[in-house]
Amino acid sequence: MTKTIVVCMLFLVLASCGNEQSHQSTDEAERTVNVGGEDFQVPNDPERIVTDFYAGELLTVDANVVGAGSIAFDNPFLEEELAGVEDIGEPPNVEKILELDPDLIVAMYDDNIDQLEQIAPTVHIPYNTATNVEDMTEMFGDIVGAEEEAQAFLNDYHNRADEAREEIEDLVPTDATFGLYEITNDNELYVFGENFGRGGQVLYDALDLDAPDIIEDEVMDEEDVLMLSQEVVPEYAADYMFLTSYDPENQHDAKDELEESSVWQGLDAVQQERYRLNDYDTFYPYDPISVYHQIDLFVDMIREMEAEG
Amino acid sequence: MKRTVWIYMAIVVLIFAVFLLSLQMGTMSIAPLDVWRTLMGDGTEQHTLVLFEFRLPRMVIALLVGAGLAVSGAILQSLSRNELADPGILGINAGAGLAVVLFIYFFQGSYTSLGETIFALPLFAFVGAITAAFLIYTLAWKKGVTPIRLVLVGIGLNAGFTAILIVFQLRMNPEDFMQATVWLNGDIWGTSWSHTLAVLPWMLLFIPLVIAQARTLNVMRLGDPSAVSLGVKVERNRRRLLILAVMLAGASVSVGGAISFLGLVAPHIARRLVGPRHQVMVPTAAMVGAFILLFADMVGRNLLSPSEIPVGIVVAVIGAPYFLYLLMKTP
Repeated sequence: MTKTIVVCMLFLVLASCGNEQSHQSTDEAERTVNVGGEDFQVPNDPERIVTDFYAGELLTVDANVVGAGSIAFDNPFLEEELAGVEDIGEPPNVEKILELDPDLIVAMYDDNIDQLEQIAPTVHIPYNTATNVEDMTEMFGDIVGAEEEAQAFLNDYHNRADEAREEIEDLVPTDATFGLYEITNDNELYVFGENFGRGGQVLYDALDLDAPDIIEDEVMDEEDVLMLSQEVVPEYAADYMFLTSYDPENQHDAKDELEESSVWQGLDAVQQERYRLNDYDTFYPYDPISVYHQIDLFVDMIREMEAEG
Repeated sequence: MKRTVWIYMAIVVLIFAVFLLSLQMGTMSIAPLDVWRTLMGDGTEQHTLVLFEFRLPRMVIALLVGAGLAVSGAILQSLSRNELADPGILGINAGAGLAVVLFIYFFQGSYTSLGETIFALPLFAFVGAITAAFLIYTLAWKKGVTPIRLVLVGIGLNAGFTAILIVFQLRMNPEDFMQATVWLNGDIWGTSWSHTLAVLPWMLLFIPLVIAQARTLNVMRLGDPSAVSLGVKVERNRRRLLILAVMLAGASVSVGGAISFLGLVAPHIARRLVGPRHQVMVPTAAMVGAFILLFADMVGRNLLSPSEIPVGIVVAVIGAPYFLYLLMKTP
């Protein structure tokens, strides 16, 4: 034991020497950005950006992403743009990040933030710092110094949203309600609000559709997500319902059981074929690029439902 | 005695070997020669950063936490006279886990300053472990605490804590839930030197204190009547040793999460190697625990690189078969 302790102490001493020569580039080409009330030093023109969670958001403003957390690679809308980007693992592996030699790190999780800061300037953006496509896009445009790209994207987005609203205007009754649900492989059922992925930004923001009052009060005004008992599903039901199935091992049991249950079968939306099972990887992401592409998918689904109904 | 010295040396050599191996293994491969250069202060900036800031603090934490959990388990097994006792089974891990989940549930998001979250979590875990132990001891008290009551109350409280844990997890949003799960699986997530320095004093102080109490532990293991007749103040010693066990477990859990199984298996292996006398068993258990966790951390970091396997799961996977093998060999 004593030997081990001595060794530990030795390394401690060595390490404190190592500490002082920490990696800190003092370029003149730096500026300060304010994100969520905190100031961060970032390079003017970041060329090698690594991020644990914000790959889609960064690509929205054409940033130079070289490394991203594993989850981004499941996102079908980012497949092409992530072709040359490295997977940094989940949770992010600091050594992998170091190998990529980034000049800017954008992190959602702060678990090893002090190590990240030693690799490159790090901007920490906690979950839910920006809560809609506009704020999100502008925030990332600001961080990487791409205000023009951000504006260009938002123009595109608003045009597409306006068009889409017109396309479905005559299809959907004005008082119709829309709801987003998810069943997990652990048989847990959730209902989502505007800002928890699964297409909430599309339905309630871009397409400006309504949620049932109960979802507005108990989900949107609260945590934006609520776990439901299957018994009360009818109370939270909407005229149009979309379900995702979180099922990483592809077992389908929980989803099948729910879809076959009499409660689910008895829902108006299900009986009138105004219900769709949506692919998890396609609808989970809520970065602006994904939201943009999800608009088309929702418009098509609504069209189909009306054609059938 | 000579055998003991050999075993000590063998474990120290093993720890050293894994330590050196672990230093050069990782996502970024560093050749042995470069490791040596860097240790001598002559490496590149990148290598220095990886070795001194990423790998070393984590490895030192693995050594400390492994030793702490093993010694804590050794005490609890002797005190409760139950071969199955460890901080996990007695509800100390669950108490710490509950505190962490409560913290994430109530405070996450309202914290903007990073420094606070990083250190508030370990602190909460530590307080949770101590609260759990206090509850176990008070509830088990009936004109003194008998070993069997201690174990039963511990198991009861463990079930209670776990139930409350699940209730809160269900009410959490999924992002926070993920964070809590990683923690509850047992993962060395406090990986900076400041975390290492926060744990180091506890281990340096309490492990020698436990070894100093080895004679009392020897007698306590014989059972209360024998201990009393040998002149040991049973209740007072039990409380003191319990406090030591909880301090060690609490400090370990605060940076390593709820790593199960290690506190159970390390003392068993130690007993098998050097016999039940605590003078030699406790130091052996500490070294065995340190070795297992260091090894498990190396495996967890490298097997699925760049992703990591939580160290608690690796410990269970490599520890369980060996443990079963040991039990089968027992006459």
